[in-house]
Amino acid sequence: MTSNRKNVLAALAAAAAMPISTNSNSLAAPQESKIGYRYSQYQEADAPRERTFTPTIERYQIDVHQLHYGRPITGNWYINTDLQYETLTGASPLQTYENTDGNSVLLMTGASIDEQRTDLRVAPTRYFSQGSIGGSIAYSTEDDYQSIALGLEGQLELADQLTTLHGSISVSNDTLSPTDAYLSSIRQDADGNDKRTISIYEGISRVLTKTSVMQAGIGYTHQSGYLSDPYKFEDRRPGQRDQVTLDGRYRLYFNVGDGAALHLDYRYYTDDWGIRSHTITTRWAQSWKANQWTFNLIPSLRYYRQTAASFYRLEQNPPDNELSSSDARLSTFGALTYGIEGQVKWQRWLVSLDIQQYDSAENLALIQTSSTETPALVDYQVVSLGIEYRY
Amino acid sequence: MKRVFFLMILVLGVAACSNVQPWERGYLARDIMAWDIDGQKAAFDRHINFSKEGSSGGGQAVGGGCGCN
Amino acid sequence: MPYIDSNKENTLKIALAAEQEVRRIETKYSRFLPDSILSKINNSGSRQTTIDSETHYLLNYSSVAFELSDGLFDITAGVLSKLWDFRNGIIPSPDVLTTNLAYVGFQHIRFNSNSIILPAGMSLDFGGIGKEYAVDCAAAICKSAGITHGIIDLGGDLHVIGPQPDNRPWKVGVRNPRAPENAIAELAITQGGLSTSGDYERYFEHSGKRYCHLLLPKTGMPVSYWASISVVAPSCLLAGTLSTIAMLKQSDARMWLDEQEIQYLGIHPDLTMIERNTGG
Repeated sequence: MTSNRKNVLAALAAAAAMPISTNSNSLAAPQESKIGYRYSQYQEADAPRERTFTPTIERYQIDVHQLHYGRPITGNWYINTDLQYETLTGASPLQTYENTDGNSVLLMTGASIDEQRTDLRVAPTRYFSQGSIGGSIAYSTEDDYQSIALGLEGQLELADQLTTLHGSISVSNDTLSPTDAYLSSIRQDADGNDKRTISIYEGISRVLTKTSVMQAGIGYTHQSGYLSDPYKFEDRRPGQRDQVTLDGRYRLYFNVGDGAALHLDYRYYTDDWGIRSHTITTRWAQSWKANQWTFNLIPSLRYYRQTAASFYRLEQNPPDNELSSSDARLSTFGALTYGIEGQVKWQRWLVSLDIQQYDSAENLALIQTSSTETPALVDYQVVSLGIEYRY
Repeated sequence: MKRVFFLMILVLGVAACSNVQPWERGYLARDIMAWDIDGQKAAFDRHINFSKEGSSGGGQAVGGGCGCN
Repeated sequence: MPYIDSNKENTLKIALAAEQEVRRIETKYSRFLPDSILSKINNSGSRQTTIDSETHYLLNYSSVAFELSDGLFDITAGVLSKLWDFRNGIIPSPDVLTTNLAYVGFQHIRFNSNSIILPAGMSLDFGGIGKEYAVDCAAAICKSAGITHGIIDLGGDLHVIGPQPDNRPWKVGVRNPRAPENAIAELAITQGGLSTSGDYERYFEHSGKRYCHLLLPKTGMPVSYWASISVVAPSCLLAGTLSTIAMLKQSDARMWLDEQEIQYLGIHPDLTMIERNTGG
């Protein structure tokens, strides 16, 4: 310290410039209330007609309404409430199989699906001088699926005031109740079955310099119960699944405009179904100021690739006693997401517009490309509009 | 497990030489430096990716599925 | 509070908002109002007091100033001022000073973003930062309302929002420390804060020696090297802190101020002056 004393003005100016409002890198309880609404329109591209068995090619279109409310309760408690309501229409893949010519055939549901889903999450957090402990309860319901999840998470700032430990644990129980159960014995068998999940995460975040922070963590998730998809043909998955994730996040500040930040996120995933995946997300968050207005522009690019589950297969009639699934989400593929979000802040208001384009394909996996076509892989576009008020 | 160990070493190794005082965190406190700049967007993106890809998780404990996967 | 704006009614509204902001801060951090947050902290008797983010900001700023000044800038030193009777010119006995020095020292305070614990017997005094902070807040209100030219002045502590409408810098007078009603010098300021710390605000003379209100927190005795020091800094709060620290640094002040690379004007008791101009 003593050697640094000369530049008192700079250090004092930094202290004077410290924002009064609290932020995500500090453990102080937020003191302001926040209410936010976000509407998203999610639109999947049509399935390729030359590969579909029936003329049905339109896939999902989903409208999503998100409502957020956060408020302090006494000095040290803060409670977040999130409500999400979705309406979904469209068709989804039943099966993909290889015909005798060696071409993939995509079998889509005939009738258009019409569904709603409601998701409510309440999470109170208690802040201490050195950390926080939070609980959460989440309930989601749709015509054919119910889920209830309980979570507990904690943060602890170490004595060096640079390092924060994070831990969280979550347990959930989901219940299946497939619609139109009379249509298949599989749906009847699935009815009333449970899917149980227990998940833990341990992380460490650290202030590196005045302009950079990073976080690294490890997660483990165990699932058991009915893990197959009752709506798909020939879908028989194991009754257990163990998943491990390793992830790191990095933020670096640049003095460009009114400030900019480079985000780098990486996740490695592996499970005992044989799926391994890498996800890299990078963002550039650019801020500008003009009078009382603040503008943020955040372009982002996400690359994802995964290997197939060991029981992924495209046989039309695999033996009944063998594991099998033709779900494109269990195949080898890669995906790119291009996104751009704009935010405008004025006084206590924030308005945001977000556009994302997701493209997935077998050859985007880049290495370990599969020899089979996966016509059920989907491209989609999301447009979101949000408004937020703080007080 | 080797990877985890490597990550930890990386984090702690870099950390050993840092000494950022509380009053020097003006930049780190900026909203653009947050892990998630927009909480609703982050939750939405996680949900969509979970429903379209074979893997999920990271950053926090996961739980509470939906009929979409 | 002079403002220059073509729309008078609008300007008046902004001026009122700025004035209200100053009153808000004054009320919140007054030592003399029993309901102020400062009174609550000072009367807490070692119990934890809940604070808001603004108070935390000021406490954090004070702790940085305390540390960077090697303990010279100490908002707990108000205890010592009470021992000096400036009106009747009575010097406290060394015993009384020594006893009370135990209740001075910012390092004894524990605070975080939500609360503060002030040991019983100690007290906080925002006299050295409150007015300066209020000036900056009032200036911020004017700036955010689109004011580009003007000065916020609270009795010598001021914040220049921007130059004169023709873009010439403002000429701001510095008081003559031996005749405070008159100016002794002028400083040209385009933008930023100006604050003067002097030995003429509260003082008495005894046996030809001047005893002023600026006390060294480690001894409880007044400083005597400078008559006044004026500092120009990016904000009034910074200027005030730097001028106070400089006064308390006494003979070391000149070198220390030069190291800060700021504009300042130091006046000795014999009214000789030392000036540093940064040209900006």
